[in-house]
Amino acid sequence: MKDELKIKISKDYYKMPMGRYYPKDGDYTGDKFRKEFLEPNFDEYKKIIIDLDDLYACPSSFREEAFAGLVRALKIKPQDVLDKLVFETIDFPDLINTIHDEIKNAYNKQKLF
Amino acid sequence: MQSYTLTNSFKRHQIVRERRNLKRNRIIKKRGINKRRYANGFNVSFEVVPYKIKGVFSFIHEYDKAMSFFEGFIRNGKKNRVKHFIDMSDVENITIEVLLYMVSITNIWKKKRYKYKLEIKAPKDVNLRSLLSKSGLSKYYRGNGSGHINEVNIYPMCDGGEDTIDPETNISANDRCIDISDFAERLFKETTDIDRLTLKRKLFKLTNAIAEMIRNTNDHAYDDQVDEFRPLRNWYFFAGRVQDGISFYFLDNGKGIINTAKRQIIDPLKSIGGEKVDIKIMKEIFEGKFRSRTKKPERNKGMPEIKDFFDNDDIIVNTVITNNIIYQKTGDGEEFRTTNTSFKGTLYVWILK
Repeated sequence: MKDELKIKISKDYYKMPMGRYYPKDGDYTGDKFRKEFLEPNFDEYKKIIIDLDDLYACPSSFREEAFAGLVRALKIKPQDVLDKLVFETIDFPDLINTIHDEIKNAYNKQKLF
Repeated sequence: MQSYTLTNSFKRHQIVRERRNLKRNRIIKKRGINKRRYANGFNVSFEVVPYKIKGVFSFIHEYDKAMSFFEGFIRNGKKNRVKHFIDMSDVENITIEVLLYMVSITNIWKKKRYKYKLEIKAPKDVNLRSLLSKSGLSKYYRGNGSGHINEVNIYPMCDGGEDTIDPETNISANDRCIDISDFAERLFKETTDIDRLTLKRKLFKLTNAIAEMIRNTNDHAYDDQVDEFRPLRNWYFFAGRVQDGISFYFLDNGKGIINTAKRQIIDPLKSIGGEKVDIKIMKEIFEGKFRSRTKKPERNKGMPEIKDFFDNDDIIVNTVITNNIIYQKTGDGEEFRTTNTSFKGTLYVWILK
């Protein structure tokens, strides 16, 4: 397992992501980001560092589907996601707490826990 | 002496001309329209409905008065082949949201292929005339208008909720958010000496809120199970510099927050209704306590985020109008009240300092 992967959303994906599902909600949605960047690398790396700086916005639909959506998509515990993803930002520090809360409250259809 | 003979082509044209004249005279006689108006291209087959608007034309300042105009406007629009003649010459004040509402209604008529014409007599007041011409309104009512407004202090009317791409400009909702954010950034840099990081955070919150409003147009403003409304969905936006900051107007033409909530969750409460229930629903949606019938906790986060944005200290004035609820926040506090007439869609107006 490799050590860490660093993803800067504004540079590697798009500076204004929004929406939940691709293509219904647009080209830069949460589920597309999750499937392209997070799911394939989740078991490959010990840590995935996500840089949130330089984004124009990070709307709830994108955020929730991209990060908390991992709990539902991979059928894992919220804590597993929190252990794997490390969020970094100088510009918007409040955003990290919001994302953490969303991951903790992620809904799991399978009711595994 | 040279002689002329009538060609067959000339005879044919003569017959067509005579028939056209006969038809014209018949219509003029039947409908009592004078010849000059006919000659000026006045289409006699459209019934002319005149409206006279005086004083203040605004949902924010005089909701009932503005709404009574729109009730008549919508009622007459349902008739086929109507020419709406709106006389605004004596209007003393106008706010942009009424124009957005008008555009929203007439765009629905266009999509439903209603036959209508619209003529607006501009206000006498020079400033209001200027506002109207710079607002971008002409883009929606003049076939060849490019809609380009060369005014640095105004972000002209735009729309684009349908299929997440503005069909006319081909700008995605994502890029529209970027464009609006850049506009606000430029104005703030010109008018304030705010530091880079504070401005960045302010713009982030603004853009986030606008993105949530756009998403709500698709997610909540419509009941996706009712397909007939899907092709009509849209949102409208305008922004401009005011004395205290920048004023923003966002309108979606959906079913409205309260109606959508009632359809989604509170079927048993539907029959109860009443203003107290509606205000309670609105408050719960703002606070994020509302849950749809899907019971998915990951949904319905948009409205609380919008409310959080409106609660921040940089917002001087804020109004939300939806269905029969008006929410207003000023320096004196916030207020929820009910109206007798139902607003079609959801309107957000705010000033960001």
